[in-house]
Amino acid sequence: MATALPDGTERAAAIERTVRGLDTAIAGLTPSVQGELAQLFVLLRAPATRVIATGVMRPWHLAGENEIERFLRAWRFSPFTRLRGAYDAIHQLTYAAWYGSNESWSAIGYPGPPAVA
Amino acid sequence: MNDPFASGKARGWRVFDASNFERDARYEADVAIVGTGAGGGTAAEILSRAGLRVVLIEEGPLRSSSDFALLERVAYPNLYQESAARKTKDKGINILQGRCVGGSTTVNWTTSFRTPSSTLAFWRERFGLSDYRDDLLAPWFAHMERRLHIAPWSLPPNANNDALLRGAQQLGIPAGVIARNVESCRNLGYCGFGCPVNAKQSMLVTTIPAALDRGAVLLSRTRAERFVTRGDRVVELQCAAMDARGIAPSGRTVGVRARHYVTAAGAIGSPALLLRSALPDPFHRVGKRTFLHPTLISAAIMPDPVMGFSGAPQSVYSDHFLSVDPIDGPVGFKLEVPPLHPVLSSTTFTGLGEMHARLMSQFSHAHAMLALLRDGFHEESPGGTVSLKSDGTPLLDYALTPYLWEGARRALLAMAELQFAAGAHTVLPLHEDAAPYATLDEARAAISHLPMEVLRTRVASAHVMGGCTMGSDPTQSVVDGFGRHHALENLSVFDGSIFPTSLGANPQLSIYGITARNVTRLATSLGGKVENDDLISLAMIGPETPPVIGEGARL
Ligand SMILES: Cc1cc2nc3c(=O)[nH]c(=O)nc-3n(C[C@H](O)[C@H](O)[C@H](O)COP(=O)(O)OP(=O)(O)OC[C@H]3O[C@@H](n4cnc5c(N)ncnc54)[C@H](O)[C@@H]3O)c2cc1C
Ligand code: SF4
Repeated sequence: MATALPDGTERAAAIERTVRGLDTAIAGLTPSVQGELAQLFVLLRAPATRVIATGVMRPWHLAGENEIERFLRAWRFSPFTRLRGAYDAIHQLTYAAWYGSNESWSAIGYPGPPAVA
Repeated sequence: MNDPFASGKARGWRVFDASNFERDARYEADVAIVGTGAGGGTAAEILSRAGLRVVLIEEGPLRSSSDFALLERVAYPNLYQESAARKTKDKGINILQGRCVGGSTTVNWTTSFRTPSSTLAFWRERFGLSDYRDDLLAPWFAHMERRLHIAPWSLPPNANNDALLRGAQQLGIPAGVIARNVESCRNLGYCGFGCPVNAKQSMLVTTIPAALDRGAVLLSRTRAERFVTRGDRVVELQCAAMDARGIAPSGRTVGVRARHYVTAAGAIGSPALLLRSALPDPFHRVGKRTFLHPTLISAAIMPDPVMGFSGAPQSVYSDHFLSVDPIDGPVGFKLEVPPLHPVLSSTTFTGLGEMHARLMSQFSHAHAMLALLRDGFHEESPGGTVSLKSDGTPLLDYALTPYLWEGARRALLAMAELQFAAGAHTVLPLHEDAAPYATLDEARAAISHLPMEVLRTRVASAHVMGGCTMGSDPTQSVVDGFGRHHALENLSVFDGSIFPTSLGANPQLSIYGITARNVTRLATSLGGKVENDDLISLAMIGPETPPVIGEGARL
């Protein structure tokens, strides 16, 4: 994600909009899947489980890009399908939120939907 | 652009959004149909034309051409099951299914194939479906092809499909042109978002309007919860009105009483409804044998722009790899391509950070190919099982067996070869351990060692089938060859859930044709007046006599 996002002040706004996109995507899921995601976020937020599950020592807002990427890699290639599944959920939700928004399109050469008269 | 529902409502169509209901509601009809997709839509038109009163019950919202914004962020949450992120139990397979009026036909890619002969032969031999013969079904397919304007696509394929064609020609593999259910199609390529110009002849613009014109009632945002039975009859269908977001029940209930009940809630949906209803299922067949055409994906970067989001999404196919081995041998696969839009592509492409961003920066040159595994024809491909979560919603457990993984590897190899033959710069088999490869040798060497495991190899499905399978033996199936429930005399299943194996072809036309046949017989047995005599006599061919509707059945 970091490499796909714009730099500078644009960045914060883009992140903000991506997070809102995330919310919309999650709102469309069934309550039971929302519940599973909520569990995942609880696990990621609480310091003890964060350290155990992800190896990220610092709170998220202080964690560096490398640290986050290392944790995502670990989940992605984990021997546990549960963690691979959680990685995939994060992958799917973040990319859906980012590439669902118009501002990501010019960088990838997508002109947006055609005008229909 | 004319919106058929705007004009229809103005003419007095009885279309209701249950999320607006302020009190509980009740309806009565000759036939209650759950689900408005390929099966439900086809059934509704034929029953209404026969003069029978129909109520259609649909969990999803009513969205029509004027709502179709052609934006993924709008389409997926509105028109798809679980925002297009429905997963199998272990999360290994992402499933696309529609959830709106018109069901999956509102968002499908218009590819139309009749049920392959080899599939029908297998059904006759293994499931006692002796009248599932090409000659007997051909008139039904022809009938639905006329009804839905199904014809081979006459424009040149877009560059994404052309890559499959070029690759096949280079390698001397047969490839063909796909038939589509479209009329005055503008070749936009946004079929997956709902066709904005009503060119796609989905149920939303064909059979459902025809039924509404004949007085059918359509209830959207209404979830069928359970059938209530007495003896061997269904006496009521209990439904929950959904809230405005369509995610949770609003608390209002809708009760429907009918002489006959049809479930057409699709594979996963129909078995889930039968399970919630706790209908007789002495041999535990409900939910079993659910098939997916587990689909492998290979991405490639082409030297010229591909613009895979533009133009008819699917127009070229190859069945070569379905015919290499016998149908019950090593698993065969059908080759097609998917439309490429930013969200679907970026979430399906593997990788993170740098590699993913680089891939997306070449998005306009990206091509992707699909291999759909023909599951269900081998004892090591028994399909998945639908069960219920604690809240009553369905969950599909589908294990990818070594038999299927062997086919997955062969499919990734075959696609890489075709893509390089078509001139690809690089090929990326969608697998977490894979990287973009610049030569066929490099790709081959890598693919032959990729661990074929769940959540490593990307596997997707837009073709859910089975779960209420048909067959002549009640110990092995849920319904008979006419879709009639083995135990309940006034319940039929008319959708993709009745297939006892996968099809080896995109399902919609099989569902249209087989439903048309089965519902014509039902209409006649309910005293309806079916107009087309030829079709009635065809519908009456079969080993069993139509059920007798008892006196007490009339409302
Ligand atoms: C993106 C996509 C592309 C596809 N492309 C093609 C293609 O090109 N060619 C092809 O042949 N096939 C294609 N398919 C598959 C094809 O559209 C489906 O196989 C077919 O529509 C299935 O028909 P059905 O009647 O079984 O169910 P569906 O068409 O899925 O309809 C079932 C309906 O029942 C509703 N429902 C479920 N449960 C309940 C309940 N409890 N109460 C009320 N309503 C309920 C659902 O909301 C849904 O609207 C595609 C599918 C998708 C999702
Ligand atoms: S290609 Fe475009 S115009 Fe044609 S059916 Fe699909 S969405 Fe409609």
